[in-house]
Amino acid sequence: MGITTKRGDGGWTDRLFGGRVRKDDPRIEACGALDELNAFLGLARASARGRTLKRLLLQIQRDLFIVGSEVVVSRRGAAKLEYRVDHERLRRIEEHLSAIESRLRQTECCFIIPGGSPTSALLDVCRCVARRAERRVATMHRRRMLFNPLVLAYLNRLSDLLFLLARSEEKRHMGFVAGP
Amino acid sequence: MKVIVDADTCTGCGTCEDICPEVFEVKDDVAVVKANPVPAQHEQACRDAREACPVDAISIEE
Repeated sequence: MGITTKRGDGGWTDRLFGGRVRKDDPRIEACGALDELNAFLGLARASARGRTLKRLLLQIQRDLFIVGSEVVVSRRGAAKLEYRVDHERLRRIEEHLSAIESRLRQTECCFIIPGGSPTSALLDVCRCVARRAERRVATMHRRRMLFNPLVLAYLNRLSDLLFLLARSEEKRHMGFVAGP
Repeated sequence: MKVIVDADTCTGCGTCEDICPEVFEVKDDVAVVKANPVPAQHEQACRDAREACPVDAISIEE
């Protein structure tokens, strides 16, 4: 199947398991933010030197496909999803959060100026995009379009994790740069 | 409250069913109303569904 179908030329697109909606629909906006996040995570992963960080970022990228499917699927289609954002997936993110947090001092987790290293700066970009994805999903939730509230929790934790990963990466390279 | 779906306009995208499955159901690619008048506890969800319908196929008589 070719990439170009021309089906979306009129500004409409297909949801997972059927149903066409406008391309500026809240669900498609959320999906687009997740796609952008995945692309920036790829850039961060390509820039990262540490094998552990690369592996973690790849795992998050894989998770985001599952998050994306939760966002664009219909209520009826959700039952057909093979993988879901569940408590186990959330717990894994929280474990990484705790491990990194325990290695950082309180003063290294405050307001910061991004740019301590190329990888940390990219992780900060990822964190900003993750927060935008979270806001888009929050809009869906408010409009009764989200069927799995754990998606919101996952994106909230993920944003925190990306913040801490950036600080951890900065510390490894040159120390963090405090904000005003 | 009464809800009407314009079957000629509806594209069967399922948005209304997603938002308020107690009142809307997609059958043969068209949304149908299965609870009219709308039970009071689902009235706000119906307004949200009308708001979200991408082709404005839902109308409400309050």
